[in-house]
Amino acid sequence: MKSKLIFIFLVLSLNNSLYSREIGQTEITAENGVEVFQDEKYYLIKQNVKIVSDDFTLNADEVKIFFRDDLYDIKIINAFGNVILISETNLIKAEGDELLFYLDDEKLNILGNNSIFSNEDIIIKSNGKIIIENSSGKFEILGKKSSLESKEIFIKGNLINGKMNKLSNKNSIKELYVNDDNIAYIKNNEIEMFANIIKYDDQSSIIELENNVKIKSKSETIIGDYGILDTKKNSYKVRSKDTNKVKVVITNNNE
Amino acid sequence: MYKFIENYDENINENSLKFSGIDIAEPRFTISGRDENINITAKEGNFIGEDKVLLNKEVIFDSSNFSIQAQSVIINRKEQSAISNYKSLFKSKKTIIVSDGFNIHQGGLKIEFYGKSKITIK
Repeated sequence: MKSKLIFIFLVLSLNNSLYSREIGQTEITAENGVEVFQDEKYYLIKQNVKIVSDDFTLNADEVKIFFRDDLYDIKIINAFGNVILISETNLIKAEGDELLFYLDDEKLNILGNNSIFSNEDIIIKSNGKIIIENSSGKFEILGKKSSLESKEIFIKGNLINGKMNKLSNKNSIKELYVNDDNIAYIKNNEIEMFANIIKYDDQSSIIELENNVKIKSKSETIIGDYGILDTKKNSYKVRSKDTNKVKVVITNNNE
Repeated sequence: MYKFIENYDENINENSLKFSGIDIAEPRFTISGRDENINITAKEGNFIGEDKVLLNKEVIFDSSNFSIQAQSVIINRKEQSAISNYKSLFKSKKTIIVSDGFNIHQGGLKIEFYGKSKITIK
């Protein structure tokens, strides 16, 4: 009788202790169970999954968690269906059809239509794939309707990759490569740039444009094969393989 | 491989078991997994088929990696499986899983937890 009471007490007390998450703990709830695969070293959590930790909250239809030797030692979180990741500590929000979170590398892959990643300074959107490496600042955006937007710049193209730099608590672009076989697009302050390939390097402050180049400012539009824009001097020049091909359209708003 | 080890309480005789409707008092079984054995204990056990045993009251599965507690579990000696539709508590290193039941397959290589489940990782 005594042992039975102790057993019931143990089960009840452990259940009660699970109702509220303590600091440092990760709590995962689901509507339709968990499957643990010891050989494959992952567990599958099914239906309306919610993960709450000190650093983030994740909601998804299903979640696969890959571990090393023990269940607690998580290395990858793979979430599927209506995925929303929010980190209030890092001011990060991610949404997509699928999300892969590599905990060691602090790497985040967001996949599917209407994928979104945002932090305090930028919003990234794509119908393909968004890859963010928090530790290195590297990012890659692939697929249709891919874009990156901040207060200073708007970038659109089928492939956008580069590196972010966090200076004075502000994310700024350090390197950038944009490619789109149709046309890639960058809007920076009052200048719009179109080309198949657009490159930017923060050290030189130069934006380089290749193929089907068009630079559009308030006063003029220049069309050519190759263009360079100095973001510090706010000056630009465009050239063509055939020099006669460069076209300038001057817009005079006073006339 | 399931092994019925022994009926521990020597004071319980056959008549008292028949009277109480219990086939085995304080049964102990072992599931031999590939990498580890899972020891199963309970207060009561009843044979419910050629290969199935219903374990009731304070059923505990214990291995070097984890333990599971539940009030009622059916084990299948032939299929090397154990199933419960009752609230269960799984514990392994820094991890606790509370669920509405469980199913152990392949000597513990795959464990399913049923229904509303909560995992707490410390």
